[in-house]
Amino acid sequence: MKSSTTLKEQLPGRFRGSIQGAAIGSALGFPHSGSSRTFMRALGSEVVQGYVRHRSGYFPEGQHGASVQLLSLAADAIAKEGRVCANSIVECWVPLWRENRIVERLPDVDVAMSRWLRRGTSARGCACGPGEAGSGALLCSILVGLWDHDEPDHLIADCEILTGVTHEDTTVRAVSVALATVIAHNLTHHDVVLADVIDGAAEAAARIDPDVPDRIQEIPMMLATPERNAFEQLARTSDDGFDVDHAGVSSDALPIFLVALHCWLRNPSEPVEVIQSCLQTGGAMEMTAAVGGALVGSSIGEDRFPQALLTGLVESSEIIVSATRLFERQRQERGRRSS
Amino acid sequence: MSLLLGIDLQGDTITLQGVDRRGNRIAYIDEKVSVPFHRFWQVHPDERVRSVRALLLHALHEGLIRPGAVAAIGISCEPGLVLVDSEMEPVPPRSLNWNEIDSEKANPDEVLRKSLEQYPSVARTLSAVFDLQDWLRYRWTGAVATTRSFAWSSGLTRDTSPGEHWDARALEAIGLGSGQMPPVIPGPHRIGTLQEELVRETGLARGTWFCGGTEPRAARLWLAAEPREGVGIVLLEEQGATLWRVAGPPSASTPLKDAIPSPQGDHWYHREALEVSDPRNGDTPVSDVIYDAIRIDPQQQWNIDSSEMMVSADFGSPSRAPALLAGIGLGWYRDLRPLWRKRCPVQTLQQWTEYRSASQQVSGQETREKT
Repeated sequence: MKSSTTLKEQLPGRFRGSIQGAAIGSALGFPHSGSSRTFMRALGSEVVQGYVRHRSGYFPEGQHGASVQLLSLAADAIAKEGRVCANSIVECWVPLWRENRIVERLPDVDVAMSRWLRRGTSARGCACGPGEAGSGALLCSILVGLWDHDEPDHLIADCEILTGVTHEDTTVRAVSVALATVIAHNLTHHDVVLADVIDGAAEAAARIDPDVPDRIQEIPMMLATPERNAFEQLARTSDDGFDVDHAGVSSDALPIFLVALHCWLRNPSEPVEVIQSCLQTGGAMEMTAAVGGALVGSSIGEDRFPQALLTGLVESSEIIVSATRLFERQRQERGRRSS
Repeated sequence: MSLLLGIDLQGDTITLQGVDRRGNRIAYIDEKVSVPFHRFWQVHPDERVRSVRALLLHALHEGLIRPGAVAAIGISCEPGLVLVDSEMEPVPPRSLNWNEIDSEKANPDEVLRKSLEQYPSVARTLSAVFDLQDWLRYRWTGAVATTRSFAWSSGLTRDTSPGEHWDARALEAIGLGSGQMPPVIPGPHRIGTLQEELVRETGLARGTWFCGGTEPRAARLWLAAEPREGVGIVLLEEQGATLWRVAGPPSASTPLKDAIPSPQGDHWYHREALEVSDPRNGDTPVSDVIYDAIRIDPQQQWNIDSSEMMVSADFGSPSRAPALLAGIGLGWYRDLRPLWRKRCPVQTLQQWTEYRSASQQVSGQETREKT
């Protein structure tokens, strides 16, 4: 069997790795979502050894969170349209709310989607306004990184379209662009070069928000500081009353992205290590682990994830089909444009 | 001691000033924003509301302004445009593709016409068309109103009563109805009281009035000189020196940019000349006019007869007009003449220079003593 060595040959695996990595991180974190940092650290490596049932008892082992539902449907919408189109993404998402199939509440996305439901998919401006910095739809921006990895000129515009469905906040938009940029970087480079990753993400985010790039630039220094200090620095929020050391990461997009990026950069080629360290941050760990899983999956591909985690996912075949369809449509669109 | 809080959104700066009953500035704080206010199409209006609220909270936490002392709030803001949907939420600029506007200066009236032409469905679902300051006031008080400055600059008011009453035909031509436009209220009038949420967050007194507002240039012109027919005021701005004269309402053919309604609505300022002699460059000052400027370079050398040039009370500093207009709304200044003659009198450039050097010496001495 021929080994995959070139980036071109690795590309399908990295596409699938991103989406499956996100789903694995989400499924491992979903049962424990909201647990404290102390509790998660006490679980140790047990947390990544296999899926467990959600404490509510309503969901099977391997059930991922609502953010992966959105991710999978958005991937289908992009593959169907051949471009990032807000209306078609909304049309794919609306049934989740109309038929109450969403597995958990995402407060920020709920607000936006209830407006879309009331006003119809052709309405304009249903997104949450500035100040709503939740991370409900953050994961979807990895699709833009995958879709536009070879067309960086379109990346920011497409990310703005996708994020604009649910959020108007400049921090969320800047974080989404930064995440998409890192994913695109991983798909176009053999190795992770720290300076390139950080500078690329900061530069892209700077086009939307002046503060996010400064926070991203803190990460290289944090790699050399003790994990606890780094975590407190990266997970801090504007809300002084939120105790990150105890409660873990808040549900805002910026701390989740920074913590996930930090966890990934500490072990960029070890998927289990990355997801475990994301889960041990507590709080909104489901989203943190999903972002961490997507980052590591986009840099190493799907093969390095434990087989048990890959096959144990609920709807694993649908996730693989979505990722494959997105990859093929992306290749088809690029071929059409270049010809 | 009660004070009036003036909010000024101009250029790339948010300014908050506390002014007492006598017109003395007793608190001042400003902060830069990343996108200037004239580029209103690039920023979600709620982002501006958040910025102003954050600066106010900072001023209160720092003890610059005592929350219980604020009696009323006034505002001046560069013209902007906020389209408010049927749920009284702003239509995000990006959803109307305003982020694709690439000109340096786009007027709100042009943007409004083009947007409604491009998206007729948006026009049908709009609840209101606001200026940025109207949106800020709405968020803080829940009251729907706009100013004469916005009404005039929209070009949608009747020729017979410019800047006062909406013209139903002009509105119909762009797909709007009269019911979608907010009522036009003179600048100093009381519009609404602060919402409970803001009261809880800031500690400002329950029942604090938020008054109508105006645009920064109108505010400066209004406070610069007592508005008698024919009085000339030269505004020294970055772009140059412009001469404005107090007169009656404009005719139907007057371009929108050549006239500004006074905040009170009883007179107008007409632009007489775009480029007049600029004393900052050593030109001889125009006689019988009053000079006003928001900013004067501290290193500025005046190679002119400084006893001949008359300058306004707020020459070289942010205008106190937004705060004082709120005071008028509260009924603090029933007779306005003392405001221009006693509290904010016109002075010669020489007096202004002497006063400024004296105040700099005092502040330098205070700093040394503190050190």
